[in-house]
Amino acid sequence: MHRNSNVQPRSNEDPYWKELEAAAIHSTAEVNLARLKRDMGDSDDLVIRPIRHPKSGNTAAAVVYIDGLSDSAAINLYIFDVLGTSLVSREDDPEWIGIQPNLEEAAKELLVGLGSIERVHQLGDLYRNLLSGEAVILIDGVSFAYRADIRKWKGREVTESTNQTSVRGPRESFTETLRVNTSLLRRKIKDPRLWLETIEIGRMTKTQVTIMYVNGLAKPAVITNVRTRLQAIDIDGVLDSGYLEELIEDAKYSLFPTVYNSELPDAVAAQLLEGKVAIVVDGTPNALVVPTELSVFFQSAEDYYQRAIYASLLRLLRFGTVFISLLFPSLYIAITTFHREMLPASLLFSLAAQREGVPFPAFVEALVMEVTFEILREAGLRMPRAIGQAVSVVGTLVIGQAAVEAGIVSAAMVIVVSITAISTFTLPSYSMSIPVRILRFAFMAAAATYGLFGIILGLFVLLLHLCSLRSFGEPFMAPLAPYNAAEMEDTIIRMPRWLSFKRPNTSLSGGSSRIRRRR
Amino acid sequence: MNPYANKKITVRQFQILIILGLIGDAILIMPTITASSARQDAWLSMLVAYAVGMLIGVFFALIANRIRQSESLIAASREVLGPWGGGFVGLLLVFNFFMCALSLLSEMSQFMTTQLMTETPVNAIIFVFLAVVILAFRYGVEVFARMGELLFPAFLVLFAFLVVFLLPQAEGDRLMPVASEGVLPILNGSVMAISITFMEMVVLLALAPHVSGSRGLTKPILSSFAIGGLLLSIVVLLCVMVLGPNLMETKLYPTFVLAQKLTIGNFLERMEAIIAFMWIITVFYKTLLLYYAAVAGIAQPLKLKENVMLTIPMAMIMMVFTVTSTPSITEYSYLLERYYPWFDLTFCLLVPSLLLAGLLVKKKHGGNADSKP
Amino acid sequence: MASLIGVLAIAGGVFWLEAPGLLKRKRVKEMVWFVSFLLIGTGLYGALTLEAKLPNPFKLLEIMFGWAA
Repeated sequence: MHRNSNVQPRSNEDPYWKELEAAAIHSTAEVNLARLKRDMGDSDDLVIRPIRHPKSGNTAAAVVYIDGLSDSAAINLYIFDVLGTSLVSREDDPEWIGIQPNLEEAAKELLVGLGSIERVHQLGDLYRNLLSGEAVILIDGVSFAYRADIRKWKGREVTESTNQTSVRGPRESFTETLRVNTSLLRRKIKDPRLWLETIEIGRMTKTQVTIMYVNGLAKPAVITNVRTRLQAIDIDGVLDSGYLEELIEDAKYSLFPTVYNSELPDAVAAQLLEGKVAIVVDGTPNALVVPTELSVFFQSAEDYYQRAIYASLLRLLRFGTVFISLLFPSLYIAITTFHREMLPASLLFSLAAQREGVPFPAFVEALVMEVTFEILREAGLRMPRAIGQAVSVVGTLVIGQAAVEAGIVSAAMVIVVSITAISTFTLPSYSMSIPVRILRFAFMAAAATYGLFGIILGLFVLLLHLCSLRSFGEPFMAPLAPYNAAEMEDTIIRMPRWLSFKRPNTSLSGGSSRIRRRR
Repeated sequence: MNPYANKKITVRQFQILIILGLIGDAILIMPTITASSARQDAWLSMLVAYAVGMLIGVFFALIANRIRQSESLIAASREVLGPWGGGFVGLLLVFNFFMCALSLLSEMSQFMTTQLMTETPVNAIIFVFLAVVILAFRYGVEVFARMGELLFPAFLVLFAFLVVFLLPQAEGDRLMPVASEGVLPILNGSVMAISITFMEMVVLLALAPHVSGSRGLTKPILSSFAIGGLLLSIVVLLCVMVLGPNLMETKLYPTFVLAQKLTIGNFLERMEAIIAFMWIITVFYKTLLLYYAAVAGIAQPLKLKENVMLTIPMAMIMMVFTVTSTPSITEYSYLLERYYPWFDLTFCLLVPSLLLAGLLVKKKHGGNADSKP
Repeated sequence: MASLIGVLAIAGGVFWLEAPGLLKRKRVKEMVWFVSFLLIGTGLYGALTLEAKLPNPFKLLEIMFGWAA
């Protein structure tokens, strides 16, 4: 496996950082301290603890760290302790206090106490480490500094995911700390073949992005592709995996996501076991997984923990509800405008009666209700938890009822819109529900102009687009098209484990067995 | 989105495209045409056509196997018959595809304006249909082949649905008396069936060079023809048994009437949307294949390196001629019934046989000289 | 009249969509054929909207095969 660790992160192309990288650490501690204070604008959280000679005031050494990012207790305990005992004065100059002659000894002692101590030679590296939470030890008389990894800050605990809930199965969700997330994945896959590579992306955020894959299962071409694309990113900041998703995805102009994201470690681990590559980003609980297929967006991790028959039926239900969510309003518009003869007579009469007082054509009705619903839904997301849920769906029904009574829309329309809305929530993946919501309007327009014919042609256009998508080299619609019978066991339904023997084709050893039966 | 020949489709996709193309417009107009000659023996006409169709399939397979190494159908004809001869043959083939596409678009627009979308102007219907065809072409053969793989199961399910729920209404005595007027009417009825259904599938030759792999195409082609023919025979049989020969003859689109007769438990009625969906899929694919063959084909004799920019102009021309060729349904049907089988015979069989002759001769003389790597 | 303008607009749109790509790749021959096809198509379409009497292509079949049937 080739690792390209010699590639400089593109964040260093920033002129400011270029200059910093080139600057060396001065041999006089005071000069360095002055530079630090100047560069950081005397920020309050930059803590400088110098060790001075009592009489002359020369700074012999200094410990610098950022308050809030480092473990100040450990600094006191270990660093100062060691530094204190390492200080010597020269015989010929009792005014001088330094630790130079015993530098090696001092370093070794610090190593014992802290577990990691390294030299830093360039100012750029010093800043990078300092701002990541490490403590920097400046020493007078030498042109390097030491850095100690004693990071500690307040992060969110590993809790249950709020966006992707499950009834059965692990509830842990990723947090904002990279190391916590990678450790969650390590706990799921305790195999030395789970490899990590970290890349720094973002000129100012210097975000650590880790690629994780199982060596031997993941296809090398995909890994290289991911690595190349990530290394090519030159952006000011990366605050969430969404930034990366937009920059590395294949189909930039498509509504559909070709990169999967999840907050759940078990979902990501399952995909790692299938030979996919995960991208974990520091600072966000959303991890990305590539390559991906359309069917993955319809699967929820829970499908794999419940019984096969139950999971299969639920999946079928989900496919059905996606159709409803996408097409129900358009079908209503098409049938009431162009194809009234398709309704049974009694339904036709009651619908006609309802639409009697309504001044608008079906399309406008549907449009108004759908837009109202989208507004309410978006508003519900922003409201405080307590009332947010109620506002979305119930609010639509109530407003709908009022609209019906006012004669602006027909009652059937309210029902259509509500069922459509609720169907949208069955999709486990939020990134897939967005294209569905947007396309719903396109289909409504198609139905209003060409009726059923328009809906069918619209479906063709949609399918054509989906079939043309590729995700990191793999067709997005696999395994439905190109059809691959062996892979189909996990797409529309989930075959029980005792029937599923082969690894999926996304992995290198696709086709070889992953369950061995014991007789 | 599309330079030429690098796109590859799998054998399975190839087969599905053939089946969808076979059913094409036949599913809608075949019952009427066969019934007008053979009446209650329409299904026998269809079976005769089926048998002859398999032979035609063999003929096509012979050619298809030999042009697999070429970049495209027209390129193959130019290799084999020389740049001028091959180019001329190529133009004839393109002309064939063009005219067949016109016939399909005509039928589609007639159906739409008379049955489903009666209030929409015919130009708008053709326009939007062609727009999607153009889009499919521009996405490339790989993509629309994949879409075919997706739509095919849906098609089969709807087909099965149609058959199963109509069986209660099927009556065997409508098939009687069998062959009451002799064999001639049956054969008469099968002529049109053969030409529209099977002969027009010469368009599969335009796809053959794009099929991946190197195993023979004979079995796939024949099995697709078999399945397509079977499905159509079932449709015609069902039409006779459920509607009876009178209704078949008089109604323009018997299969549509079939769908209208679908009832499930007395409450789900008028499910013609179902057959419309099925039928739009097959007509779309057949039109797409013909359009693809025509546009991809026309660039070759002209020695153009790209063909994408021709898509819209060609579509405009097609649309105009579709409108002019359908001043009235009766005139269209008249012209079609009298001259179309001859047209198909010439262009779908005779012209390709020139190509086949050339290929066979080349094989004897040239050995490995004619296959491009 | 309005539909004629529409036709010309569509033709213009098509040209605007396809031509830059062709020019960039310097495909002279393709450009020539493209423009000719576009002109034919626009001409026909325009004639159609102006309700000119255009020939029925299936009459061509009649000419070709009239002696046989």
